[in-house]
This record gives sequence, structure tokens and C-alpha cells, in this order.
Amino acid sequence: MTSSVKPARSRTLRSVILPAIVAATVLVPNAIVIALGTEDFPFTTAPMFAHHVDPDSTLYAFRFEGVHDDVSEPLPVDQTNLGERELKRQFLSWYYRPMTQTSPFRDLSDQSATRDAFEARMAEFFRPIVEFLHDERGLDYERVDVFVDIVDARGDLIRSERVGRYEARTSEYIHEYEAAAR
Amino acid sequence: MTIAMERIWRTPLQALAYRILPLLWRARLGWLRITLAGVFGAHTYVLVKSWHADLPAMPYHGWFLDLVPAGVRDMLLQYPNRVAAVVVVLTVLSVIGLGTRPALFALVLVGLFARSIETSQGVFDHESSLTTQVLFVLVFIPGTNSLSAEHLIRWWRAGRRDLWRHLAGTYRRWGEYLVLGLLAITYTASGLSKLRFGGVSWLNGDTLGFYLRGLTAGDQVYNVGGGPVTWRDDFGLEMYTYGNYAFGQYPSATFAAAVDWLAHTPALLAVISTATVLLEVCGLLLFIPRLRSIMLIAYMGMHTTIGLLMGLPFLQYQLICFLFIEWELVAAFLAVRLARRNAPATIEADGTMSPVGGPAREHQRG
Repeated sequence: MTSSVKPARSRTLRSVILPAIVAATVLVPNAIVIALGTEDFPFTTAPMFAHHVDPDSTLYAFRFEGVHDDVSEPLPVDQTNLGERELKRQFLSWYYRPMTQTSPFRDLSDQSATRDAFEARMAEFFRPIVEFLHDERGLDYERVDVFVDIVDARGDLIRSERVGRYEARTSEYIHEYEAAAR
Repeated sequence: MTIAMERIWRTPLQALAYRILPLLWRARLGWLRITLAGVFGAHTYVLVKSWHADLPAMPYHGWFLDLVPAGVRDMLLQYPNRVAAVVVVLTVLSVIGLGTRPALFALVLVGLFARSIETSQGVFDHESSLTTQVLFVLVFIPGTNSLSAEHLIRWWRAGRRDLWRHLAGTYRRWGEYLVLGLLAITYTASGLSKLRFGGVSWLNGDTLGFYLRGLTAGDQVYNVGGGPVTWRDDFGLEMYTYGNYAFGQYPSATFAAAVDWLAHTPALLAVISTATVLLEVCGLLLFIPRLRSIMLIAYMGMHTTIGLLMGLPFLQYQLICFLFIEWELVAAFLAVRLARRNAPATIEADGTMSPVGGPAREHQRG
């Protein structure tokens, strides 16, 4: 009796339970990210090239300027061992985080989308960069200005806006852009 | 070809080919493990070696890194050479198939960790995302070991009889369907994302034309707007643009001119965009036999085209597609054609091939 029960259990485990667990482990997270339209490695809704751009579209490029003794220069991203492309993607994905339903990296929660939470998160981004440049490269910046270059679909500049600044002395980010005033 | 060579080709070599060829589909998951583990391990090694570079101490993000204790994470990042050596050992074991499942599981964990670090730093490797999931599934499903050193050892211990039949043994198919399901979900999600984020206007080809014109070929990252005004800004930022890595590096001036012509031909762009979305959203058709091979070949064609135009061939996806083509049906079709011409081969009931007059005919006689 016992010997026939054991193989039956083993068969059930291998033919039903194992497939169900393995399938659920990969399919459920996939179903969740697809339903939400988000991604978190390795699960993705595959949003590559998905956002519509046409010849009349306006595009936005973040630009960081380091300020020392009132002299402004492009923040030397290449000195951080991070590529320009990965740094800017990291910035948008994890820190600036769009506040729209149609973004895979959106941040719509009441808590983290507040001004205080946003500014704290932005400071978390700039503080290590400024400290790294100071400690490892001997480059001192009192402030980092954050600009958005607004360009057309050919890349031609329409205008630039300063949206905020990071103060190295106080380790604070201050968001300055007043959308409502425009 | 001399008569002697023809004899060799048509008899022993042909017989050997008939024995070996079925391994292409009977040991499909074994090939998948060997090839994907090799590629995955090699890239993991490169990622781990990159930990040598000092970086700004930014916070880590992502669900997997949230699960890894900070002490373990920092320890791994502190010893890239040791982790890289472990990756080499795990990759070799996974590829040759010795301690296969534990080695593959450990390789997937280290690889997932390395890619999660990369994602946290701004690079989401969409090609690796499917490979990681497929390798994870391979750890548990039947058939992963079909081509492995440990399978050969079992054959040796069992009396060393009929190696090819041993290697081409049957196993339960649920794992193959699960891998196929992951492939189908990934393609369907990609098609749905274009409709969800880009809307029906994605089909008009404007977006494809934009990327082909090469603005995103360099390091500059642009962000697409269109979302609502918020307290933060009125840009409506939604998503960053992706790179066109082939632009400016096309194989010839003629090819570059052809791409430029395509980028400025709205009707053709619309046809290609619509066909791409249709192909992707129909991912679940992969579960329909016979249609599956057509879909897989179409996906390979899509990746090859994207590779030529934008430098993103997604070879790991193509590899999975290639191995899941119904080679058993292709072989059966070719065997029938050959049989009509030369009467050399038949397909056995279990899917193996054998020369006419071989086991199948003898079986009938018996």
C-alpha cells in the first residue's frame, strides 16, 4: 500500500505540481507587468520604441551643468565611469520618474509623487555624483543646475528651461520649474 | 563527385546523418541549454568584470535587489574576480551538462543579480530578459539534460547500447510549451505596448521613420512627451528614446541610401509598422502546430531586419525561434521528397529518421 502511494505522489509532483509552480513563477509576474504596463528585470512589457514620435513631436533632453565660482560647465559625466546614455536613462527611470499612466517607469503614488519626496529622491541622485567627482576626481561643484532642452524631431533646439538645482553644501535639490505659471 | 565518394556519402554518412539529425528536435531543450547558457554566461562574465570600475554610490533599485540582503550584495560587488571565476565554472558545467540543474540555477541567480545591477544603473537588457526566464525554466523542466555529459554517463553505466536512440529519448513536453509560452507572451506584450503607449498612430510609420532618421544614434537621450501637465512640469514626459546603433555604420553607401529612402517613404513605413504590430500581437499563434514554424521564421526575419536597420538583431531571441521551428515536420517533408526521388529514407513513428530498408521496414516484415 505504502509503496504504491509513494510513486503516485511522486508522479503527481512531477506531472502536476512542479509544472504548475514553475509556470506560475514566470507567467504570473509577466501577466502583472503586462497588465500594468511596467517593467522590472527580467519581466517586461517590452516598451521599446513604443511611444509615438512624428515629425511634429517635441522631445525633451535633460542637461546637467556643474557650477563652481559662478562658472557653469557641463557636468563631466564621463568622469563618473557611467555612460551618458545609461546615466540619463537611470535618471528618468528611477529618479525623475514620469507622472503619467503611459510611462513604464511612472510614479503616481500619493506619497512618492509629492514635492518633498520628489526632491529627496532627486538629491539621492545628485549627491553621490557630486561626492564622487569631489573625492575621486578632485572636481568641486557648489551646485548642479538641471536643464531641459526642448527640441524638435530633428534635434533642433527650441528652448531650454532650468527646472531645478542641487545644492552641494546642503545636499538638497530644489525644484524650480513652475508649470502652472506658463 | 566520384562514384566512390558518392557511395560513402549515400551510405555510411547518410545513415549517420539520419541518426544524428533527429537530435535537432528530439534534444531541442538540450541545444537550448547549451547555446543560451553559453551566451548568458559570457555576458554575465563581462558584466561582473565591469564591477571593477568605481561608480558613484547611488541607491540600488528593482525587486530582485530589494530581495538580496545588502551585505550579500556588497560582498559580491566587492569581489568581481572571484564572482567571475564562479561564473566561468557555472557556465562550463551548464554547457557541458555536469551537475547541470544546480549549476544552471546558480548561473541564473548570478546572471539575474548582475543584470539587476545593470538595470539599476539605467540599462534594461531586453534581450537578456527573455533568456533569463528561459534558462530559469530550463532548470526545472524535463529534457534540459537530453544532451549532457551526465546523460552520457548514464548511458555508459547502462551498458552503452544505441547511443543515438538514448540521446533522442522522449520526455514530457510541458517544458517546451512553457518556453514557447514565454516567447509568445514576450512578442504579444511588445505588440500590445506599441498600441498601448503609441496608440493606433504607431501604425502610420512615423515612429519607425523617426528612429531610422538617426537622431538617437548617439549618446544623447531624448524623452518623449505627451502626458498630462503636473505640478512638476508641463512636458508630460513618458519615456526615453531608444538607440539606433546601426545608423552611420551601414555596410555600404547604397544600403545607407536605401535606409534613408525608406525613412522618408511614409507608405512603406506604415506597411512595415502595421505588419510588425500584427506579427507581434499574434504571438499566441505559436501554439498552433505548423503555423508555429511560419511565425518563428517571420520573427527571425523581423529581428534580422531590425538588426540590419537599427543594430538590434536580438540573436538570443532568434536562437530560441530557430530551435523551436518544427524541424521534425521539415525533416519528414524532405524525407518524403527524397524518398520519391531516391527512396532513401523514412521517418519512424517516434520521429527518428532511418534509411528505407532499415528498422521501419524490418519492423513491417517482422
